[in-house]
Amino acid sequence: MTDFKKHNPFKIPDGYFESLEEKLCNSEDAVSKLNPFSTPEGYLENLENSIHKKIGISQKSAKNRLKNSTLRYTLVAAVIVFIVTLFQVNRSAEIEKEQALNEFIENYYLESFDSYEMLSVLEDKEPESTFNLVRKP
Amino acid sequence: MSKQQSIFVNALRDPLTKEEAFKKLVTEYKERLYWHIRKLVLDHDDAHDVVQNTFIKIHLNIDKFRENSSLFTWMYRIATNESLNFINSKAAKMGLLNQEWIEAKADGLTADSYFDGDQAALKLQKMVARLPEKQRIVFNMKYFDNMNYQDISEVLDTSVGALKASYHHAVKKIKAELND
Repeated sequence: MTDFKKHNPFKIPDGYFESLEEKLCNSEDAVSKLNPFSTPEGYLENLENSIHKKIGISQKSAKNRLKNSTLRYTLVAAVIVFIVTLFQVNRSAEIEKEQALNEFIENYYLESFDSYEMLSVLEDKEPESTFNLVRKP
Repeated sequence: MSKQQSIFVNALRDPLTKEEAFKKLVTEYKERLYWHIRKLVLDHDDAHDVVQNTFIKIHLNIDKFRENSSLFTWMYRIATNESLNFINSKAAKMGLLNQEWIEAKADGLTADSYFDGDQAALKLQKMVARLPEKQRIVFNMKYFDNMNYQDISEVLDTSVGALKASYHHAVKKIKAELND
């Protein structure tokens, strides 16, 4: 008897529950699924053009951005090169000045001093090292 | 992904064929994306801005499309994200929560010259606007766009189970309000 009670004698069409939701939604009682929104006349036909136009503008501005940033980087690089060159020119001018001074001192000693005078300004142990110092490069 | 779609995606990536392929893409998908966006942002002008931005993003990021989903699903995801970002920024500018902003938009539909639904349609839109964001998106995609759960799951990156629950809750709330 209990087995009889447990058995469900009713049947449903195949796939009934799977499509029930859709049927309910599509039934006349359900709220209309029709699109209540509209667009200005010819909007969707022209949408394509407006999208392409917008993409064209965005590409153009991207190119301009690239162009501007390239220009900016070139300018920065040029300034760096200029500063480095200026620094090196100053440095070589300093080196030249130092060399000229050394040469002047060397020439002064060689031309104005005779051997005795030169030896007198140097201590006995120094002649070799002193002459090494003023050796021409 | 189908072989045909793979060929099309390659055409979109190739600088020589990109423009032509992109024109085809816009022709093919403009309406579906527009209507998806429109149902999320409600207003035509807003939808127009978002649809343009969506296609710009698609154009710029086609190289990043990983081809593990369908192209349309990927575009739908971009459109959904763009719509939500748009709502976020608009609401933030007005010092409102997203839901408050969208409810205000739904309330304004009566005065919208591009809304020609009847009272029932208007009531439904207002009820949908009152749903939490996730439920609102799922309801729109399932009820109005007739998308299946698998596709919605790919677009929203959510499990099918969670989507079914969201949709069920949304339908339940709407039914309850309709019966009141």
